[in-house]
Amino acid sequence: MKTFLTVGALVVLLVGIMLVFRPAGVPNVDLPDDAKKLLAITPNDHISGDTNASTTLIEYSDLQCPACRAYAPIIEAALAKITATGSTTVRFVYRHFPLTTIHPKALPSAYAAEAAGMQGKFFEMAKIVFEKQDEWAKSLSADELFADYAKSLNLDAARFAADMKSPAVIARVEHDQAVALKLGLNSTPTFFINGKQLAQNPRSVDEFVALLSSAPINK
Amino acid sequence: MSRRGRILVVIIFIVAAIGFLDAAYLTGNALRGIIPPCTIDGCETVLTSQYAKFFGIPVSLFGALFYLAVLFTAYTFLTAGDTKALRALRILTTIIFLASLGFVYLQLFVIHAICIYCMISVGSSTALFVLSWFLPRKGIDPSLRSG
Repeated sequence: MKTFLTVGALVVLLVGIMLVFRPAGVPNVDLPDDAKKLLAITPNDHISGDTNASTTLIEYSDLQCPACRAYAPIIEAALAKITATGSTTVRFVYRHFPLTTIHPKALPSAYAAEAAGMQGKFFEMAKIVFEKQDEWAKSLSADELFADYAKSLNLDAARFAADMKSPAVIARVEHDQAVALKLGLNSTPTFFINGKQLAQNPRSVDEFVALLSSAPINK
Repeated sequence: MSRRGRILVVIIFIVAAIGFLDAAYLTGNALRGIIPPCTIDGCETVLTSQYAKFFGIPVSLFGALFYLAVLFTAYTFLTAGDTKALRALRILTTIIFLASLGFVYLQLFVIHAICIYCMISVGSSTALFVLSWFLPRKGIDPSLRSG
């Protein structure tokens, strides 16, 4: 009995210490073939960077998600760093995964970004929406704030307002969301590098750069 | 203590181990600067709230240390039969349980979000508190003494 308890206690203690100080490895999650088809890049995707890049970073994101907001500057910095070093070429693809059960304004914010995208300013709007997340997430008039952001980007206000409610924009967001659910995703941000899902999100710019630089080249 | 009593403390040991590993996982994330992702259940809202740290120290670390203390006292009792360990066990499980009640209140009525990892700890602490009711109040089991 004493030996069993001692061994058990040591195992628990060891596992606990490993959980606290576990290494920062970022294992991949292998996906079945049909999932890889869902991840294939299409002309309809929002792509930033070299469209013919050797490495593709896909992010499934929710514009009302604080973690996604935290990762936005990290991704931007990582992509800039890789571009500066020239070690590889990366294209960044943003896809919507609004967590509507916990973020009541996830859809309106996604529509706002898409509506801006209809006028060629998707990433610019997404950046502003992330930066001002605290402001509109708690506001009772978030749509008015989105309109203000559109104005700051010199977008056609009337067209922006109409596009925010358009079936095309709504369908676009729904499509991304449906794909995310088919992939079995349940959190944001979720990252894929060359079709491989990251089981654990990188903690820093340098970790992101290392992953992107060492990823097998797109076939 | 009877065989039934020893089994009870072994169960306490196992439940405390679950609580400890759960708290250790959360502590590891907090200490390593991992940004909790947004999940369908809203866990990150709790883990990034002002109530997740106490004077800058992750609350989960305190939980891990408490569960570790419960493990140690359970181990001490099972190997040496010392009732002082039982007394410490009851005090520790009461403290953890009361703290868990506080965290449930914060999640439901202040933060308005629930974290599954925190609720695992609540479940562990509640189980420990209830199990500790059935612990004997006095007497040392001679069969547990070594030598």
